[in-house]
Amino acid sequence: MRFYLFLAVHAVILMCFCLESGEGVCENKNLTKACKKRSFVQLILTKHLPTFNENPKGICRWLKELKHQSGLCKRRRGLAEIINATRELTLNSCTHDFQYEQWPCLRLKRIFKKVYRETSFVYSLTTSAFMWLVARACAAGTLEDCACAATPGKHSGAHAHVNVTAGGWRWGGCGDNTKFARRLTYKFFQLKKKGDKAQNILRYNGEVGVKIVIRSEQKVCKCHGLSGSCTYRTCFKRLQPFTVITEELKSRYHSAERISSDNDLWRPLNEKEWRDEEKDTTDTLRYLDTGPNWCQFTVGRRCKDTDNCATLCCGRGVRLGQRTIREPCKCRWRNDTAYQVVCEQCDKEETVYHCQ
Amino acid sequence: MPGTILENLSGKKLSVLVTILLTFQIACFLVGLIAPSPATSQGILTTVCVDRDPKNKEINRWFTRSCPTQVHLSDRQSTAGLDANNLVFVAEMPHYSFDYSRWQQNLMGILQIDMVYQEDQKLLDPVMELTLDARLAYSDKDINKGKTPWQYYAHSEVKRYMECTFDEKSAHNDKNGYPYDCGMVPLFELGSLHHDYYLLNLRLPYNRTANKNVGLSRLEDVHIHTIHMNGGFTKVWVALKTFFFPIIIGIMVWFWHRVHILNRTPALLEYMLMSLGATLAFLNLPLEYLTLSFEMSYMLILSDIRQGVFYAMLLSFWLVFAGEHMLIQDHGEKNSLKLYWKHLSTIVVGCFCLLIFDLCERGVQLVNPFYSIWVTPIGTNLALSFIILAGISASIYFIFLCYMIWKVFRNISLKRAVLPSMSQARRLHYEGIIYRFNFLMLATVICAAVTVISFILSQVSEGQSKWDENMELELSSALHTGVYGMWNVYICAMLMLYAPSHKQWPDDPICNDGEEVEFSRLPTEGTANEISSLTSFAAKTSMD
Repeated sequence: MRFYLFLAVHAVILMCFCLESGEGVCENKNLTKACKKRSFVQLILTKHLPTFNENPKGICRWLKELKHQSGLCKRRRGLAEIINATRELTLNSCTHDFQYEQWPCLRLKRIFKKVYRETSFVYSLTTSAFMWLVARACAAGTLEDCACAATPGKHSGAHAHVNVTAGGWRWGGCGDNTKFARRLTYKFFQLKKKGDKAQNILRYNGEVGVKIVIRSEQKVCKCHGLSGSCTYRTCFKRLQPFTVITEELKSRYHSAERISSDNDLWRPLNEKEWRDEEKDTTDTLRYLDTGPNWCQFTVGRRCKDTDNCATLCCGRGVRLGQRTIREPCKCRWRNDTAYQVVCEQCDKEETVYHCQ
Repeated sequence: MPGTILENLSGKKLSVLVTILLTFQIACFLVGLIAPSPATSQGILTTVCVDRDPKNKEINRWFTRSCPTQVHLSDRQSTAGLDANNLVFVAEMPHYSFDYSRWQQNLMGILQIDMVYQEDQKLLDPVMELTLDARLAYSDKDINKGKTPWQYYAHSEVKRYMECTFDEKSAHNDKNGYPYDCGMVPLFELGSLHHDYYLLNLRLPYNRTANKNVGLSRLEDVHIHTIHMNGGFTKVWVALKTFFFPIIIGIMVWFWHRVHILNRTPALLEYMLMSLGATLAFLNLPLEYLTLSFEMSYMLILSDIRQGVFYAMLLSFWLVFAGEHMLIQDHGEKNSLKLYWKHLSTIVVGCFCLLIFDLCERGVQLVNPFYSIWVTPIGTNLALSFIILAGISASIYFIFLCYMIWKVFRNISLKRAVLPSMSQARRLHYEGIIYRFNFLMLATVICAAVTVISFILSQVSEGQSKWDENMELELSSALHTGVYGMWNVYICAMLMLYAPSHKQWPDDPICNDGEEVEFSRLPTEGTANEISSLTSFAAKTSMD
């Protein structure tokens, strides 16, 4: 009897070891007892990424522990570049937008231990970035046959893989890039798949990211018909710069709501409910665990103004300093810089705030 | 005395005819359901290429998507040391491995310029002037499934106005790099899509002294949205035309034959009906087949003219139709168009204005596809004044028409009061005529209402993207084919019902059986120059 117990314990340890190998430590005891596989978002934001300058497909091999994503990455031409860009865009826009927040979009490894407010945010941000980049790559023509993957009407299909033939293009033209991007994002992040509660809630946040990209798009219509009148009217979507999406998500970060772990308020939505909810403009980010107190990390951080310092420094007070900085000034649009704005450098006295 | 078929047709035959026409009508609508939406758009993000030799004016120097040096505008390093005149925005149309089919008819390009706010820069003017140096080239498939070299198609330096707003509230505290909300700029319009591939090379030349592109902010992206007709829609549309063309020709021949059998000169309404039929036949003539083998860039202007002539004729017909049934025939001589010169001049003026406007915009586009009348203040004022003038004449026309119709109905109700004093047969006869006249008036009103409703519906159905994405139905095409079929059916019905009656010619193919009880003709009234006994009735009662 004791022998069997011994064996069983060994087997469990062995299993855990196998699962864990190369994936870091799983500390998420709250959510799942077993060791947890890292998600794509966690991997892309936390694992060190070598540069794949010559071979963009290298990232597909780098993703090999995620069978689903690396498979897609290898199969579809152009997706590897998007994955690379997703990481860059997510990190850049996150750190840029959160430089005066208590959580400066750093310590990413730490936030993936549980489902914090920050975890939910980066999850939805990554999903948005991915979808936005897919839609953009479609418009640039760098992703394999995307816009024509779903022609409205006869040739539409529920899968992201259906290609429109030349005949289909001649008959009904190409479909909408956003719809394709949404479908590919759902497929890539497996947003429809049901998992444990933590995974479900992260996927829900991913869906919020998708919805925000969809909502950020502007519909533009053009009349063309008899003498340019509106007998025919064709509409198309206009992709907004990603800054708009980040701003929107940032405000959701602040209004995120906590779902208590023992009270299962949240359940996965079915197709119809999702559509109903898509119209609802107030979908919020949701998280499970109260995050770490970021106040302890704000000592010495720079803050912007009195209002910002009050929150950022957690009431510890501000250290004021005067300094002279060289700042761009007298900016104007100039010929010799290829549609860039050129500024002169001026000296400017400035008050700098730092948290104590 | 000849009446029209409408008056002599029994209720049963009329209902059979109406059923047949309704079947055609429903078939037209259903055919539209097969078709895809009338047009689709394709968004293209331009590739930014570097032109190392911007002074070179050689026109056949084309930059393609695979140009040697490409830059990303968001990446400051890659544009360092470059001049604004160095950059070429390249769009290859269509996207991917597709090529344009001639069934796709025409192509429109709309420019979207994304600009971002730069810290410390003055906010842009809400309306800015753009100077665009745009070049179009074409290429075709060659035998080995490759592309022929790019050939020059058009080149122009044009001005456009772009509206840009900056939403300071939503940009929160960090305005740097936040985008401007800029409007779309129409760029070009090709009347025929003759070639397989098109290439756009766009430059935004900068020149401070010539005030070119001086008010821009930092550019992030330049998109081109192309809109072309769908091949499937054109096929269905042309099929519909091909189907209706021989039918309308046949009915016209039959109608004219009937008129000429009579020993009288045709009445005004018969001339009007013939011309209406002719304009419909002209509209139905499937000229689109020719675009499959010839480059007909004037196709857009031609189809505008065809539709315009048809609408003008339809409006004139209504006017004359109402006038001829005014029931006040105070003079015995033959009615002529001269009586209606006041009313018809509104149509002539309106259509003439629209024609000039169309020729100014689309006529010039034949030579320069980048031309737009709306960019210069003079052009805008000219275009607006023509459109306003057309609108004014349209309103005057409708006031005239409504007044005339109101008069007809008032006269009818006045004459109705006299009806009980008539003999049984005569009363039934006239009641029948008035009923059928009202019926046709009703048909006209229904047709007009359906057209307006379907126009509104087709505008709304463009917002269908929020519906189920796998929805197979394409409503806007069905609405277009339905309305088109409706006017065909309407005019066919007019030609058939207002043709002279078969009464004296029992071997008529349309209504050859005389078994139904028909109202006996009244021998005493009518003169040879009146085509309908309704009008003769009116003449008689007004004498009473």
